[in-house]
Amino acid sequence: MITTGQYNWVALFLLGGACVLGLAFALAALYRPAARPSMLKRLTYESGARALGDALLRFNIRFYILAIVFLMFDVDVIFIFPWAVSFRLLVFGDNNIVFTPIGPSALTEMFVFLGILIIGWAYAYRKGALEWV
Amino acid sequence: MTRISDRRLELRHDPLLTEKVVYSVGPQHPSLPAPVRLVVQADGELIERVTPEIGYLHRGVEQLCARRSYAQCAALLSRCEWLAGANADYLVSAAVEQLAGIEVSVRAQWLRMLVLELSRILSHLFWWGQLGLEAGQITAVFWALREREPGLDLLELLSGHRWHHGWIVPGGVRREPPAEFYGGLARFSGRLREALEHFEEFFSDNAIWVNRSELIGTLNSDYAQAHGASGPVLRASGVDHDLRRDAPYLQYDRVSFSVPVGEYGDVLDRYQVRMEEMRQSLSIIAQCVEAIAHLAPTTGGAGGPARSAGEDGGHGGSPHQGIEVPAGEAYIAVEGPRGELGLSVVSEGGPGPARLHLRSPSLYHLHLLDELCRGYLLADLFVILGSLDIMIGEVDR
Amino acid sequence: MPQDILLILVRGVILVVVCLTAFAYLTYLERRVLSWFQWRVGPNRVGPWGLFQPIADGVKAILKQELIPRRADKVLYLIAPIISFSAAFTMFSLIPVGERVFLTDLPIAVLVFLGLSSLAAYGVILAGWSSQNRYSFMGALRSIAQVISYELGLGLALMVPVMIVGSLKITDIGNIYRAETWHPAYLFVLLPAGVLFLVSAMAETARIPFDLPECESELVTGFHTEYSSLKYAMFPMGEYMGMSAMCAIAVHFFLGGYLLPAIGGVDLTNWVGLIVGNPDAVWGPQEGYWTVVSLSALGLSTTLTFVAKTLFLILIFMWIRATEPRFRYDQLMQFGWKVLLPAGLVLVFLAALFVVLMPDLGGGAQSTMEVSMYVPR
Repeated sequence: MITTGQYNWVALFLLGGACVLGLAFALAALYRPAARPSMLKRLTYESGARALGDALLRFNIRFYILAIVFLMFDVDVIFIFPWAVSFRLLVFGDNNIVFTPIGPSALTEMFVFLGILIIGWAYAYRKGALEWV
Repeated sequence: MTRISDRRLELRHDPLLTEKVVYSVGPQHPSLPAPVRLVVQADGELIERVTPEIGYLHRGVEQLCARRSYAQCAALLSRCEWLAGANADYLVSAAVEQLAGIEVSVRAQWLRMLVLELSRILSHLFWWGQLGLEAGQITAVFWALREREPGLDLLELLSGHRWHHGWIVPGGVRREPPAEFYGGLARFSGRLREALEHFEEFFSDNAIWVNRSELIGTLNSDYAQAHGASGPVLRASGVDHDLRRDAPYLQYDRVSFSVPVGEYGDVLDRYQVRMEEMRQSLSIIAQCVEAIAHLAPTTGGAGGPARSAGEDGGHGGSPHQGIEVPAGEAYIAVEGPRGELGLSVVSEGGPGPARLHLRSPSLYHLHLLDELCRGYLLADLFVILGSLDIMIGEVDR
Repeated sequence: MPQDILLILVRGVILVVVCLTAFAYLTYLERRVLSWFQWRVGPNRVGPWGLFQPIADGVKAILKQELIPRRADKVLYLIAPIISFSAAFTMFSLIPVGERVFLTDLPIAVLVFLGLSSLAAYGVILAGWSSQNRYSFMGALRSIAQVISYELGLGLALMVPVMIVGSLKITDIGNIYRAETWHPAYLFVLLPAGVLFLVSAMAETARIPFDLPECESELVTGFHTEYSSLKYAMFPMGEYMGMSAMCAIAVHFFLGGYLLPAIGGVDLTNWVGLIVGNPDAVWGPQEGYWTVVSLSALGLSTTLTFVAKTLFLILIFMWIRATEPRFRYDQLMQFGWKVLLPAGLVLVFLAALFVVLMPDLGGGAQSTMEVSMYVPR
């Protein structure tokens, strides 16, 4: 049942969605009144007063720490996914009753991996990397 | 635009420098009830300084009042304190009475008290909804307004107006409440009592709300007193002070009510103090109704003796346009919904004041913001602002 | 061949129109539902019961003046709503809506879905950044942090059924809910996983109480403060689509998908097939969304069931929106990292134990994964 045709649909949706929207923007441009907004109207809206400069800011470092922690866990989750999908197969093979020779290690190794993950998480917790402020 | 390029230059020299962000909140911001501008300097989301810039709603009311009659003053001042306009009416009337030495009948005093407490409840209800909005609780405001509506209807029944009633006039009140008023009031009170229970379940007991308000924006009692805080904000900080009890006016010394006092002065305390005040006001209203029932209406039905010159001259104008008030000075203060609302009047004789000044609690509370918000997050700013219940019309007058 | 292309185009246009209308009406539904909660009437002026309100809104959005802020990065500013919209839109190509009613049933559907849900965040981030407005920028930053934090919860929650079934295919996972394969023991792992998924999904689609990227009372309207006209309308649209897609996935993974409820051990899904007979005899074997078009009773009834279940979850989202205040930012992050992440990891442990302890359950779908080839026997 796996055909590449299925993936074409996904691509078609992605492109089609974008195209339909682009088309809608273009159509809207034809229909709406042609009046161009004045320069004042095109100023940034920072709740009424004149904007205090742009948003090209060097922002606080906390986002950076969070990004690192996230990266760590996201990569880990990506590692877990293939294991999760084939977990049953790894443990039982195709008979669903007895463990395969690699069954116990499939179970324990991932538990060890998850354990390491949790230790890392606890470390980040203790170090305050998960505190927002 | 040299400023921006300078900054870029500076940043290039120091690659690890992170910037302070300056947000301009207002004058047109969805969570501000009326225009005011808060310049918020923050390190990321952590607030370092809040500078309120006021004046967007300045109408020169005090100056305008100095050229107008007392009746007109009351109308103007109730546009400063629009959620509880009866307070402004009362302030002007009491000032005139004090200067002119007019004695107000006891019944009229009870009636005034009733309306003042009613408007306190209505103002607090509005605050509750507004606070809900600021905390992201979008339903609260509709519930609050729904409960508020019958109250406004009552005031309309009383005076013909919903917000700026002008029902309290020098010498008493404008007219006797119609018979159906008391029934409506009883229904309103009963319904509100139930609604308050409901509100508590719905919002006050919500874990997210408690987390957002507990120990946020704490105000210690010394700072509060030193900076002129009053009303619920002061009481939430643990200072047991209420003008209604400590400097009784009208018949407040003859009703029994308790003054809720907070402990930490945080948002939750201010919230709970106001919620409790609504209940206390309901009980005061009940006592007022009780007292009024035992007092016969005075002749003329207006509940007050003095409807001096100009009583018949009210063609669109006010019945007491022509009151001649002797020279003198008076300061009248009431415990308004937001705190001590004071009116200082200088009269040099004549139908209007020579100079008039409104002491508005919101002005003082707005300038507490910096102290309250420092070290909290940007999101807390709005909850704190909501908990102070600032009325911009009072701040800029 | 040209006919094929024409057919695909026609079907594509029908799909887009149906989707857009459906989601426009979702905004109507949300407004009506919120107004019920809030003791007010809601939109009731345009057409009967206000039913034409979404159309009026759309026309208004189209006719609005185009307003691009002077400082904005024009290209990114225009691309952002398109990304946001089409990523959410594409999610629907993944989701089967009824028995044999699906466009695709990818063997890696879960991964594609997670990828798309992250892609939608790019729209938000680019919108916030390109507007050059501090509020928008702040909204975008919050959005990044929020989406990446809750993505972990989302992925871990989905991992539980994936582990039990051993497949990333949506229909395979739905199959455990069939009357012949269902076992109450599933509840022990699937119920907590479902709750975890719904909470993460709410955060991922930035709904109240997690609507910090937008939060009106703080950041004006957050990342789309500078957007107007049709470009603005695409953000709520994308949000609704994302929300419905999340709910649809939740229905498939945790609510028995498009299957009719089994009453007293009788699987209604099979009954419909039995009673009405086999539509294939009449229409020929059908697959894809066109099963419904060809009036297959099974396809139609399962599709309606699916839509009803999804709407039920959407209504829960709306209910929560009407009753909860908003989290504060740091609380949100802490909730994600300190509660949901460990909870997800624990659930993965539990799922592994479940598979080992209940070897008879959930099997039967493994062979679809190509990874099986590399497992030594």
